Amino acid sequence: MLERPRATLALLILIAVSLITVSFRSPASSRIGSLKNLVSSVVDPTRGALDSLFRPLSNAYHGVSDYPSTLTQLQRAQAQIQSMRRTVLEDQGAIAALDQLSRLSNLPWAGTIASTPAQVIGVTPSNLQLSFEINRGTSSGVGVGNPVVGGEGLVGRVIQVTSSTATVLMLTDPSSVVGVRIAKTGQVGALTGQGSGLPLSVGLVVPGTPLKVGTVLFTSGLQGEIFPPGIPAGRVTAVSNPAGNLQESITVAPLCNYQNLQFVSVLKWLPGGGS
Amino acid sequence: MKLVRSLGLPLLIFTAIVVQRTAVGQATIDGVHPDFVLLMVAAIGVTRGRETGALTGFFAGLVVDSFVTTPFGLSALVYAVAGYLAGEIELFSDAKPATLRILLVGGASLAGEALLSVVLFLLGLGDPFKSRSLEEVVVVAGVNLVLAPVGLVLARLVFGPGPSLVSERR
Repeated sequence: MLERPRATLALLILIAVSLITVSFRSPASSRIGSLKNLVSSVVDPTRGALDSLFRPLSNAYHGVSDYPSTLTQLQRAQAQIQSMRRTVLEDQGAIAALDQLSRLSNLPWAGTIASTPAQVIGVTPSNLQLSFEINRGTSSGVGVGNPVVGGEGLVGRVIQVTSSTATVLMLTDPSSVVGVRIAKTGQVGALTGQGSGLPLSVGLVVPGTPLKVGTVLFTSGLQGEIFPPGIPAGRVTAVSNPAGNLQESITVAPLCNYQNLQFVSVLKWLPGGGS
Repeated sequence: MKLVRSLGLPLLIFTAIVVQRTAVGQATIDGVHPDFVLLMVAAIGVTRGRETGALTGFFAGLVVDSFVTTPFGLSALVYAVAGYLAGEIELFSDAKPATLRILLVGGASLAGEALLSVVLFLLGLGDPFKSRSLEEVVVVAGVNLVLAPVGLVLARLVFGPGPSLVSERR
């Protein structure tokens, strides 16, 4: 005969094993389910109250015990954020490049002039000349004097060329002069660069010529001109007629942004109309 | 006072279960949760003997089983055995030093957790050689060993100084 505690334990084990067997064979037993629900409905409301009581203790414990892993997680998260930011920037760069390329694929003002797409490989490291280099040279048919355009319009012209690279003079360079025409009046002028960070200016325009801010000026293409006609060259940003001046004062902004220029197209057109 | 005493045991177990389900129970040590219910069952077993320990463990286990998806009765079985083992203190001589009581709480917790791993293995719900069973056993037993004085004090507060374990031996 078992002593009482042992008998009690044996009985409890028997009941527990029976319960386990029933539960194991039919996990979805409705009686067990309703018992579980009953217990949850009693315990859970109290848990909510006690949880708020114990939360500060738990937080304090987590603060101490989880500090090393939290620090590691924080560092990992920061690294991920940096990586994601880099990805976003790369994506933005790729989108901008794609945009420029897609614009270059459709240059209505280039007409039938043959062109060669090129990638900008760097700005010429000189303060004396505002120019940049592209990855196309004589081997691609690029020659000195070829106009260089972006998706929006004129960018400059090739002033130096090797077999695989070429140097393009920016419109903003003080030595750059482009013959332009005001479409509405047919008036021509000379678009001149004024240096880095400065707008272009148009000279030789008769005072009183009607011109609005925002008007796009196109290359004139006069005989002997170094650019073919009809290429957008700049947008008027300011017009004034100072008293006594022999020409209208016109300020123009280039249509391309030299800061983020990645792709250009070299028009195989030579001054004088050859190609 | 008698009413308080009679309500004390369920209240204590209820509190342990609720605490286990609060943020405190969700705290982990190396990914292992402490088991406050097992602690209180063992402490009650040590304080009141085998039979009370086993019964307390059984009913506390049934409540605990209500919150998990493991087979119903599993915790009841484990806690009943743990409570019974903790109550084995009554088999010792009349002098029961505090160290022995604390060690028994830790030992019963260790045995309970080990039994849990074995039963889970037998039911095909876990492989003690592949899972972190050993780690769980060590952490739970270790925490309960450390918290044993608290559990024993709480059990004593509920049950008072008597009746002694000797009466249960009869």
